[in-house]
Amino acid sequence: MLLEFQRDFAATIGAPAEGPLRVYRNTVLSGCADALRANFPIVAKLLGDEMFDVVATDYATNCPPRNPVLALYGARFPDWLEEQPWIWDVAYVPDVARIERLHVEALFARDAEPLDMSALKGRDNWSLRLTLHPAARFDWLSMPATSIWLSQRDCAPGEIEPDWQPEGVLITRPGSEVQVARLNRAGHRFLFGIRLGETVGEAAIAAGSLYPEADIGSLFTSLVRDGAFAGSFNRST
Amino acid sequence: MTLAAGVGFKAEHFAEALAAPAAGLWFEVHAENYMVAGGPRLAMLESLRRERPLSLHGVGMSLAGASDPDPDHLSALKRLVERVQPTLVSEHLAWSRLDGRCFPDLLPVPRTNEVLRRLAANIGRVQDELGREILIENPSHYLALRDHAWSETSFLSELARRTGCKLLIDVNNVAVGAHNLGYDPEAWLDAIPTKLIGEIHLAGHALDDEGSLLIDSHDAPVSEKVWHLYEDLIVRTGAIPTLIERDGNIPPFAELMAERERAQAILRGRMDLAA
Repeated sequence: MLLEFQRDFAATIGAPAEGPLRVYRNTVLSGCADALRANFPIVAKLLGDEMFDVVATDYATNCPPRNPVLALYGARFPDWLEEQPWIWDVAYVPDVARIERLHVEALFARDAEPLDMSALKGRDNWSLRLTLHPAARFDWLSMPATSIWLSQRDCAPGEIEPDWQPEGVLITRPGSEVQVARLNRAGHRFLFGIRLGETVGEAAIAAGSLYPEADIGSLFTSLVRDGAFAGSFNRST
Repeated sequence: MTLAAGVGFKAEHFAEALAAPAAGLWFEVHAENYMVAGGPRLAMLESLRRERPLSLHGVGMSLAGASDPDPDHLSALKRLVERVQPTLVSEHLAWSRLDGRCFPDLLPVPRTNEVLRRLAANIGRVQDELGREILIENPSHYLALRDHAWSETSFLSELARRTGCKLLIDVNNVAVGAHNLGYDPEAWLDAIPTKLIGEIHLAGHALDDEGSLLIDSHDAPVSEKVWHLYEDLIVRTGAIPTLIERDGNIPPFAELMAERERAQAILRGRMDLAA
């Protein structure tokens, strides 16, 4: 009986409703849309408030939350955006959404001390087998979404004029704040190797041979400074 | 420490909340907002907890649904309870989960014997898992459901007796439901046994777009009507931990504290009488 009642009620507020039922329907949909807006603020800025509301409501109807922790809602939002017919006009938006999703994951990831440069002094760093910091996220994107994300975060909405090239993103949480930075191909290959369990030396050789123009030494230093690695590590055996 | 009047915590008020000197001040948060593995939001809550008593108010356990509490969600609540050691833990007489889908709302149920059994079993399971008593909040009403077998006040009281849980009486929800469904809020509040009440919520409401329903919107100051109901309730119950809730149109911290001071003065009046 109770289960039937719940299913009937859910079906009723799943369609446009009037009066009291409209209150429940609106609360559910606006709860989902507010959560998406909080988790994808730059996508909301790029699409504009009105458009974002329509898009968020559509997403909430098709991909409702599966968990009451709405701080983590929207895992499928970037892929879903890419499948929408209207996305061709703003084809960079799904990649911007991917960055925002990684940002959410980084923000709420487990706490851990990041690797400190001082721990590396006087050691044979090439044989180190590092692990990524729990909050570190990186990706390679077909659009210059990192540049778009960074420029939109820092300024009012306007014409988007990045260099229309693929680029990578590195998201870290070295202290209490999440950092977003561009990542080049060598950096992406290097981190990819570390994630697969390569030693620093193996990852450096692979990245250096694919991208001989890259300065792998300073790349490694900047990744450490950005907090990409966890503080505890093992020697290669 | 005895809880007096508290305020719903908002991240933008963090520095002022930490520094607030008010005696007996405590804070409440929605548990789900902090069910994450780590990061600055959780660290902020832990800092606040070091200074003040904390209440965890859950919105997603779906206690009035036909299913058992979701085991992952219950584990997440347990981890958070262990982490911040809250003074109070509360949930709602509502459902918000069905067939794998979650609804960010507190959905209603008919007050039948089946629902009473289901709720009692689910509350029991949560209390057993947490190893502590929880409080259950009365919902706001918009819709007159058929098939109620119990009055709301006797249903709540029976639930508390069966499970040992306490009641969180949201006076604004009573006022909103009384307006929308046409019952007497004073009589409603008089029918709740005072010994079962462990916490009180006060919040603001708004009129819906169509102009006929009151919405439990938490986006305005507490209404005068609700203050009067609260004063009368406190005369009957004595001092009960009372929270000023605000979730929209968040005002400066000082404004929330001014509302909190009004509740505190009403509670203080009762404490002086008792002394």
